[in-house]
Amino acid sequence: MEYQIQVQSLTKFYRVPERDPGLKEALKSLARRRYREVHAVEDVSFSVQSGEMVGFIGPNGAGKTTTLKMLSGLLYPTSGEAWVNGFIPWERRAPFLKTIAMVMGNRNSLTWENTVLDSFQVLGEIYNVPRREFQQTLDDLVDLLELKEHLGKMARNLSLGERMKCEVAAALLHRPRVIFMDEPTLGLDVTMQIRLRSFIAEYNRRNAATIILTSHYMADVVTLCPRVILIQKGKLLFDGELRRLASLMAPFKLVRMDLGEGEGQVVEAALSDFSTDVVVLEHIGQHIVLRVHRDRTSAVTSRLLNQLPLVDITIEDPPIEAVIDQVYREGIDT
Amino acid sequence: MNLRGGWALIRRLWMSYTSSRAFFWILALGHLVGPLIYMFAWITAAGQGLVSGYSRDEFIVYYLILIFIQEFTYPVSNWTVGDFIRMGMFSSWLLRPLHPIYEAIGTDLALKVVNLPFTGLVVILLGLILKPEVSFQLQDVLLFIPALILGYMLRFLLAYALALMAFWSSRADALLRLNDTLLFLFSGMVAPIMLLPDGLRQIAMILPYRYMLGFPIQVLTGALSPTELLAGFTGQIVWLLVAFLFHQIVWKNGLRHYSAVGG
Repeated sequence: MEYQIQVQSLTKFYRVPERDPGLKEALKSLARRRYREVHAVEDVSFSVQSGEMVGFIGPNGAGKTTTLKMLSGLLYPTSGEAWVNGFIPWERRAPFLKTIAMVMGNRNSLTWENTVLDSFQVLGEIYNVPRREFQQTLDDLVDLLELKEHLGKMARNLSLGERMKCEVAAALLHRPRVIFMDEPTLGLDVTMQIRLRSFIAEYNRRNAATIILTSHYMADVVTLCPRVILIQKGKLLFDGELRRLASLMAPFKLVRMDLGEGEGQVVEAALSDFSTDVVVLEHIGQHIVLRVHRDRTSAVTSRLLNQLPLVDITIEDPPIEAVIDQVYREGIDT
Repeated sequence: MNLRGGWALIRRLWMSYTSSRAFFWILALGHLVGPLIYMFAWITAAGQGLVSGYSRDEFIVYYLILIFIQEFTYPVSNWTVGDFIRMGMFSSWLLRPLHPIYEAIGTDLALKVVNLPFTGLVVILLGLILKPEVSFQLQDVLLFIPALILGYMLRFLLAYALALMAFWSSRADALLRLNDTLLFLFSGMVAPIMLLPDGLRQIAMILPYRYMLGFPIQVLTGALSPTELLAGFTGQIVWLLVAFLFHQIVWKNGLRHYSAVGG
């Protein structure tokens, strides 16, 4: 089996200065600084095959971006090993850098005062892409991302979505074999998100590129990544198919109810009767969403129907966002 | 060495800087205000006589050359390198198969192409207005060129290595300010080195700053004996090697500390 990325016990600890609030503490910290060790990534191991698309998910501060930064050579790990395309990333050798790309939502590889095409051509030169190959790649990217009308514009005159598309193209001009995408759809409108998603899928299909993607938009992950790696507080919680995660985590149903006007107190009383396997996920006005164990769904709903003046009730499987939210809050037991 | 990429980067920066000339000309104007003030202070002090052997005309020539060298050697990009490291934008440079120093060199060279014609014009105009009596020897002009280039390389590399201290400290620009203050005192900017009090002059002769500004001026004005010239060029090369080693140490260790915040 050909692995393009191999990660073994990767660990990154930061030492960050900290102090209590207030002027006195600020003055004290001048003389004696206190540090705290942050365990950003701890003993993470996984492998990714050539051409695979993997979703790297976790709550804010879980260690996703830190891991990607180590794999792209930006950060030295505290301990552990990793190989990407056969190279140790943090040695940052030019042949390695030519085979990878890191797409970040806030990345800025375009020069604001130059045209997009000027910036692209400079990148082609920096990566030593032969002119004919560069032109062909550029044509492909212009076609896939619909960039034609933006090429002659100054980067500073592009909208956020246009700029993001151009940033993605800029990162791919040297046809990297491994792409790390950190929140590529951040801040984009729905149309642009969909377009970018279909582009990533098409790029992967055409070029057999290996892609690791982090995103807080579960739609990105669901659409693109059959496999997810879930990380929390720096530790790997789950590595496998997204479907398996959902079935592991969702022995639950969601019960959505709409009540008649002014029934708040009745609801409080009714819900307080249930045991802990019924959890109120949302209670906004007359709309309530409950998480109920699959085995208890019919008993709970019939009781709700008897006790509450319901206008509407629906029972459904939880959306993937809810599954992930549950994992973030409660952890996972595989 | 990715020279093709480096050259492309420089071209890109030229293109972008030419689109905002006015800003950079104001920057160049800022660079020459200080030396102009010192020049007028010294020519007032000299009057029609001499100050420690320097006449009015010699002060004018000294400072007009200094204004040009100041613009030529000023490593403006180093102020932004620290910011880029602090804010995490340095990551974009690190991801490319091109040493990030190219970005700083490119910025500097691009700025010089935009700024030097402006500064040159100001120097010529001031020369025409103040009419100092001046003549240069061909041999001094030829020696001035390597002295100027070595002075620039030394000034750039020292400031770049200091800017890289941002890998450790979020306020590394304080070091750049200290560097500029030392340069102001010991490079021959506030006064020609020979006019400094004994103790200061001895310090100035040891520190690297004289080799960035004062020495090239002395070379062009033919103020040095062959022995002093040899000692001066040796001093430039030795300090350049020291700055290079300092840069290598800071770079290699600094990368391990880089926390790549934000992006």
